[in-house]
Amino acid sequence: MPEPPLLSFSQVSKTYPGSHRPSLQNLTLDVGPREILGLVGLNGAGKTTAIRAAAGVIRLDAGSISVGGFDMLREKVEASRHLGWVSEYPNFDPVVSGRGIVRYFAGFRGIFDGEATRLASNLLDFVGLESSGDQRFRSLSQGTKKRLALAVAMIGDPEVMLLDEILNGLDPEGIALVRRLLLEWRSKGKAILLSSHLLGEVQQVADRVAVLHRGRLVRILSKQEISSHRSSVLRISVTDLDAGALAFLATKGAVRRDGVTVWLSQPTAGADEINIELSKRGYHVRELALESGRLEDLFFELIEEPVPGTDGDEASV
Amino acid sequence: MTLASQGFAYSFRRTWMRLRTVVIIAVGIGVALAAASQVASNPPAPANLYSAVVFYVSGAYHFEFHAFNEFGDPLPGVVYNISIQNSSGTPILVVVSGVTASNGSLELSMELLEGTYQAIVLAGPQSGGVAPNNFWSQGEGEGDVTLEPWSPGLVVPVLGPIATAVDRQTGFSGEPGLQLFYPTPSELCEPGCPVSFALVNLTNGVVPSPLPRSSLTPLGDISAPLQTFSLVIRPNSSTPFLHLQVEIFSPTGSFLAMDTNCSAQSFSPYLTPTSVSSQAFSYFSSDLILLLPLLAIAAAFSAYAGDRLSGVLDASLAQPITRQGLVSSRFLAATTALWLMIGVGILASDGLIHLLLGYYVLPSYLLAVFLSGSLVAVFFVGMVFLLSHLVRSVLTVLSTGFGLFLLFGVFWFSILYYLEGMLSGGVGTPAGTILQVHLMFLNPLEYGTLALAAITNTTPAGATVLGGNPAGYGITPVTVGLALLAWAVTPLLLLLWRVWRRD
Repeated sequence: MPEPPLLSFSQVSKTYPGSHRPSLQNLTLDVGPREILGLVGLNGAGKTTAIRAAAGVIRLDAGSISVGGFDMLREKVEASRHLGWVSEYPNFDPVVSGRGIVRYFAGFRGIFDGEATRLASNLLDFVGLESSGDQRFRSLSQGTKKRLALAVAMIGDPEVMLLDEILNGLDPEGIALVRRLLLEWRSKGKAILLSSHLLGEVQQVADRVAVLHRGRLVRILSKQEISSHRSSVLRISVTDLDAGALAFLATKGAVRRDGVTVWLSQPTAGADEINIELSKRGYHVRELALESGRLEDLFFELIEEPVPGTDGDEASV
Repeated sequence: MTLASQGFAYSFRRTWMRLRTVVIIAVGIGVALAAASQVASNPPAPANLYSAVVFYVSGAYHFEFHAFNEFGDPLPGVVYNISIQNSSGTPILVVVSGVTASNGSLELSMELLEGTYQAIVLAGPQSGGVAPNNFWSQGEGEGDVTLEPWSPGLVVPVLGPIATAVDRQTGFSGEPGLQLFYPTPSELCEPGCPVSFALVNLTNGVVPSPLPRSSLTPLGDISAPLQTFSLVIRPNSSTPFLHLQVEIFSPTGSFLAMDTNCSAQSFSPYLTPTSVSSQAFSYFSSDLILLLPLLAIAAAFSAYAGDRLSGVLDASLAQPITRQGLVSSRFLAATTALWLMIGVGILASDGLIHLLLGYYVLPSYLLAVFLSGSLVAVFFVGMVFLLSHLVRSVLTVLSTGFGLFLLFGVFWFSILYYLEGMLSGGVGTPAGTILQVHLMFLNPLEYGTLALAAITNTTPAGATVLGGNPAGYGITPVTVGLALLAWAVTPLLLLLWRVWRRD
């Protein structure tokens, strides 16, 4: 018998006041114990709205969210006890120290005085902030703020973790810490909802990936689905890549460029034909391959939007 | 303790700590100290009272003057000047003048045939550069006293000495009730003259007829030329008295003098005193009421609105506490901190006034200021909390809060005069005065005046020229209480509705 989900969205809808477009429309998804669910989407897809709704920070227009079996609206206090949340832009009292912030939020979970002080030291040490724990929040860097938010989210060892773009602003050491924590939490049976626009990172750690687009859940992908996906994206490396080559490739599909490499999505011609045509035009093709198992490609296919940019940098959505 | 109440209590306590409630309370003590320094540098002087009786004996009219202050201390050096004219006004027949002795008394006599005359009486201090004034009248014209061919032995009070004395004495010594001082003429009374009194209830009409002897209560016997009788009436809000009748009899029991002509509202056990302590306390209360809105705006911003507008509140919203619990705990923390400040400030001010002047402030005054101060605190805190849910700009929230303060605290009287002139046909007219009192209900900063009038059952300040019972202006404990409650809870209810329904 499958275990009941620890985090559950049911027909959740939300439209912000003054907005014509709903931020979330009938979102239904579950995150079970020992599971990391990646939440991906373009800017404005509704990832942050979904996480803030689950955290109890914003009201829903319709639907319900349950955390640890408790309804976030009707049983807010019990539901919140099972929850830890790291927001995209952690925002605490700017004049209070990191240690003071952890102590403050510990009080909401019945941890006071000496116990709260010890807990603050332990958590700050754990996230690598023991030395800067006495600095005021406003003087911390973005990455340090993220680490502090992580420490706050870990107070009370909640079963459900909501992580909104947690990797943004973190240094490599911080990213490694988060990766380690995610795996550790999963092994402990926690449910983790991880939103990120770094699709490679999500693909690396998530058990499943929910694709949001314009407030709607497009699809939930399993790890197997992602890895077995054979996308119709050609990766082409061309020496002396110039506007002429790009113009030609643009006639054969959606083009995205990264240095001398071009990704051609949904090509209207085969690889051989493109190779020949480029050679005829005097370009030297160093590499031409059909990409597969990339979440990024699958993502753009699912949302049915052209791959953005012809001169973009690292793939990000 | 349930999880919800645990979160509420914790949020309340932490907001209190964050607001630095001790500092807020210190501000209240600071206001009390500042007001006390004002009192010390410019102590309010006790009001001077002047009473007089006139009688006709042995071919002469005799004036007996008594000048004393509101504490019953005699006032020496007060000049009295009397010009007697015939009843048609001219010419002046006799002019006599004199100065009160160390006991505050002065007797002036003028030999005249018994008849009807007009006496113009001027009185006032001789020193201090203050000119004497014709401050009294018997009822005809300003400064005029009509002398008539009275029956021998009848003593006629020229002023309403009882009303004046009683009005000044209420509770000044800290006694919980009305104190009546009645200086009696001694010329026609040998030692042993009995003085009796009766309190005439509100229900007996505005100008009662003399009461039967049976209703009178002995007040005491006259034993000195100038004597005050003290009558303490314990507070009883259900029994306001409109009139006092005092009668004086000879030792043989014959009627000598009577006074029933005391103004309305003088004998309520909850009189509005104008004693020095109350005047001194007004320094504190006016400073406090002006400062409170600004302090409440700052406290509300620090406790909640600032966090909400900057997004800091979100992290707390994700904790095990309901959003209503979070809002109301922070609201309660801000308002109780301010209540404490008001309470401690009031007690400090009362204590300092006692230290400086020797008198405590009347409890009704303290209560009225506490109630109105609490209303101001709750209203402004609630408004700033509510505004932070309606707009997203710090500047808009703060400027709107400050704008409300300017409206109610600074420009109110300009608006009032404009409305009074426009709606009632003129500033200062009876209709305008009544309108002005009614408009007080629309300003939360005016509830000190309203509460005091309701508690003490006296004419509200601003309408003393018209006089009359506060109920005539719609001011009763019920109406003021309900209006006060409406002002206090409306922003809070709107806020909770908004939190419950929207965000």
